[in-house]
Amino acid sequence: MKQKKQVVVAAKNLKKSFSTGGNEQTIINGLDLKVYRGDFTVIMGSSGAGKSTLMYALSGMDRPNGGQVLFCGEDITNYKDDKLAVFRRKHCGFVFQQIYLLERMTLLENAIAAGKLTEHNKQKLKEKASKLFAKVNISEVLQKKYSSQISGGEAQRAGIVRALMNEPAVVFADEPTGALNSNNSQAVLDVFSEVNREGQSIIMVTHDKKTALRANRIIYLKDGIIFGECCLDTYKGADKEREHKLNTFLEEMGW
Amino acid sequence: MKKQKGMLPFGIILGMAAMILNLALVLVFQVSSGYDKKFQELNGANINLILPKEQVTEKIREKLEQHKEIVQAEYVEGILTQATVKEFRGSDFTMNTVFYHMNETRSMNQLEVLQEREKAAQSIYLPLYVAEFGEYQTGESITYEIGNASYKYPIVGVVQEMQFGNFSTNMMGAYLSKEAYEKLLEANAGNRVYSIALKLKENQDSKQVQSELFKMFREENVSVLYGVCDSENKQGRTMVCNLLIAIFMGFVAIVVFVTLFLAKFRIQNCISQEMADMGVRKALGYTSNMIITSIIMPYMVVGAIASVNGILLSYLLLPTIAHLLGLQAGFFLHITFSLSALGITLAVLLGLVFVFTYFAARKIRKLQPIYAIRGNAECKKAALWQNLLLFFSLGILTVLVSFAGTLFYNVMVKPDNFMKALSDETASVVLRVKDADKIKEALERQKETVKVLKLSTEKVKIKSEEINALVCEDFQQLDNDICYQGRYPEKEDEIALGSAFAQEDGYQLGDVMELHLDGITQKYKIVGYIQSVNQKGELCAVTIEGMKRLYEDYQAANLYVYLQKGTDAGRWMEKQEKTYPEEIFNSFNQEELSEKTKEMYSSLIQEAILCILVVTILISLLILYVIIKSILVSRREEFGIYKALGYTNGQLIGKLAGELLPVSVVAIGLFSLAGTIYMRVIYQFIFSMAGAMKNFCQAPIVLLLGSGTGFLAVTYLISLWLALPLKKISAYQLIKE
Ligand SMILES: Nc1ncnc2c1ncn2[C@@H]1O[C@H](COP(=O)(O)OP(=O)(O)OP(=O)(O)O)[C@@H](O)[C@H]1O
Ligand SMILES: [Mg+2]
Repeated sequence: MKQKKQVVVAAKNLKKSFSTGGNEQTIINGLDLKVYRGDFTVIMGSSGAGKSTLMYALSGMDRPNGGQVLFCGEDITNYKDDKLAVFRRKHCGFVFQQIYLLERMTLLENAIAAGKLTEHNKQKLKEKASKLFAKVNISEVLQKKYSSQISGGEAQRAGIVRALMNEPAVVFADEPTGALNSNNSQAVLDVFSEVNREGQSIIMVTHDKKTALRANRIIYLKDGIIFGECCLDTYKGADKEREHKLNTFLEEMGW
Repeated sequence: MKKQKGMLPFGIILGMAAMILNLALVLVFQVSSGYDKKFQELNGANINLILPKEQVTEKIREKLEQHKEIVQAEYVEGILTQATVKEFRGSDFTMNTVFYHMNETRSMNQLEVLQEREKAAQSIYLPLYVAEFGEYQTGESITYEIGNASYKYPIVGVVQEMQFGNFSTNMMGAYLSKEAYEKLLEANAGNRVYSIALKLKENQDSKQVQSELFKMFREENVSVLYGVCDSENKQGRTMVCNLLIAIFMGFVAIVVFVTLFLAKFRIQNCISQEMADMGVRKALGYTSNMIITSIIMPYMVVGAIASVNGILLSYLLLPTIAHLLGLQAGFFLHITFSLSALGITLAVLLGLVFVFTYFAARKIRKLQPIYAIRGNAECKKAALWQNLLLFFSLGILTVLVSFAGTLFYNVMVKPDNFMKALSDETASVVLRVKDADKIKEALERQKETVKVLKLSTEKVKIKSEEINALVCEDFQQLDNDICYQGRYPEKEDEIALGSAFAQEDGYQLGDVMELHLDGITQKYKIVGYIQSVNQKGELCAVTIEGMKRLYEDYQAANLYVYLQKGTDAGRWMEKQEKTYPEEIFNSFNQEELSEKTKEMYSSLIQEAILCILVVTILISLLILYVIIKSILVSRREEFGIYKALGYTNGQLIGKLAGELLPVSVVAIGLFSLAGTIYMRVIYQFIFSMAGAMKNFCQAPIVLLLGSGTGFLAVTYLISLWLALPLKKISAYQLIKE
């Protein structure tokens, strides 16, 4: 069954290093990875392992130092700046770890700022935004607030809405539930599960086992490569067996 | 979208620059052309002469009419007097005045009646300049003392005329009703003159023609009582205007520079703060061009609105300024909307805003979105950047303050500095005498006299151009040192040339050049350069012996008499006239004239200084406010953390002030010190634009340091105080926002 799955994002011999104050620090070191269309993929790893760095490279937010990133078979590493921008707006949604809402805009305006790049009909845009906001429990009053006037959890949910506005083929989410309590967290994850069922691929970074259980594939990042991976059945609610399998995997990885 | 922060100060500063730039441009475009327009309108003559009436014979008329360059000659009768005006600006004032008959028809030198009351039998129309500066209203009356008689006329109107104009022409007109004219004529029949207005063929050099005519009159033994050509007249009348415009332009240059520096800083600052948002947009899939456009647009829109408002505002001020300038030149200057000034102002300011924003925003192209979001490494250099910024902005502000301070000092505190640059030699009394040697000693022996100098102005020719030659027995003794390079002539074959020749080949220091007078040519060695604003630098200076080489029988005609301080020059003059009725042809109270002129200049220039001071204050306040505010904003988080740690507001302000102090002291100190040099250079340049080569302006270090430190300290404190709503904000807000 796996063989039939289409690869949506692939990394080949990916390398990324930073030099700070003369020190060269290699974060991603010849990493190979295939992410399949329709999968809910979770990336785990210790803090500082390079999860965010990998996400940025895969989504065209940053250029790797070596290797390739293939998006639907196309090498995006050498894309020109503008082409990369158009690529991002069409195919990638990104929920940042630090959220980064546009400061001088309301939450609604933030969502629309993203959406209007592909959808020019204002009415449709608004409908789309309201639907998504409703899904993450953000009221209309809240939508009119500025990013400096809301809580961390609210900001995170708004960030998710913004990432989903263009119905991207792949949604990248860097710890999207980090600031949420468990109720809100479940609501948000339900949204991810739902869009995943509808066919969008999810690549999510998390530290939380419960969140990881939403995935059907868990990748463990260590020493700059994919250290191991574990496949689960599709998430259909609480399931002891899946939980057990994940625990064993993480233990093996030394988590 | 939430209102862009910081756009308001940006807009205000840009608006102010637009206002002052447009103002200066409109003046540059319209003062001179406004003069020409009025000249056309009133059909001004190219040459105006005043000759004794009986000397204007048929022969003379014929000669004038047959002159190949002259198209039209018009003769208007008048009475030339030395009239003392009573209560002219509070005191008596003597000036050469030609009285005309108001209803005489004129095709040239027409009069434009500005205010008119019901006519009375014995009445007068005053020229604009006399009415305005003498503070006479229609309905009041004016009293002239002519000879020994006194004449009181009700003023029924004020006229604008382009024949005489202001005091630079040394001659005023006055226009009497028929009865008044006839009555005055009875008592002054000997002073009947013809005022001859000449129109030349188009594009003729009126100065050249005038000097030909003077020669002709000499040959015919006709004495020219007064003669001036249009270009000389315009130069004289607009001299102070031009100087003021030059000062304005200097000020504008500094202000525009300051503004642009600030605008550049503001834009850069805002954009680096916006980097994060720009990064987010890039992450969302906006192209770099979309982002750059969205960054530039608000600045351009605000810039355009502010500039247009500034330009409009300048039209509120312009009528007042134009009115003052026009009065100084003796006519009403009507300012019209200038599209080219608007175009240039907008193009300069918006063009630069565009360039600044574009270059600041352009960085986004090279930056990967995630680094833009995170903020770039530049942050680390914040302290250095902050200090550099403060250094240069305080430096430029010091320049601005020094400029205003120097102007203030040289016009208000030491007005003589300013006057010297503009005026020629001024003694207390000038006597036109029969035999200078004979009377000189007698005068020198009097206890009131400090010194008596033989100093006259004679006509000579360089090539074919007729110019004035200052002829003096000893130039070293002049009060107003007009030699700005080299030295004065001392030997009979030496000459000092006016600044107009300084650039020309063959007229360099050490060169030998020729002077001509009535067929005689002599060689002189150039030993120095002199200036004269009134004569546009077209003059020269030779010794009395030097003059005698051209004209054997030359005799000094004028004596400049310098009296002890406190001596009443008028009374002294009268006494001499009575004592030496045979020797003294004519006497002239120069002290009085120079006092009056000083008053008139300064009344105008004071307003200009006020204007400049106000703008300087506003700009300094705004700039310091913006800079301090931006320093605070850029370090918000840091200050928030300090607050969280338990620092009090007082401690924070103290910390900030302490940080800013060393740079400020160094900046103000250095730029003030340098100011002793560059202020002289700047003013030298400004005065040279008006024709004054020698710089009398002083910029003492104490003044510069004092004004710089004092002024900036005050504005500094005010802006610090203004920029500190920080006080009310909690640590949490500071960090979070
Ligand atoms: N711009 C940068 N310059 C220098 N070093 C960087 C930069 N970005 C990341 N790093 C370093 O790369 C390593 C990986 O960072 P990354 O953000 O990918 O970690 P992470 O796995 O996402 O960690 P966490 O779970 O804490 O978010 C870290 O050690 C970090 O210090
Ligand atoms: Mg991370």
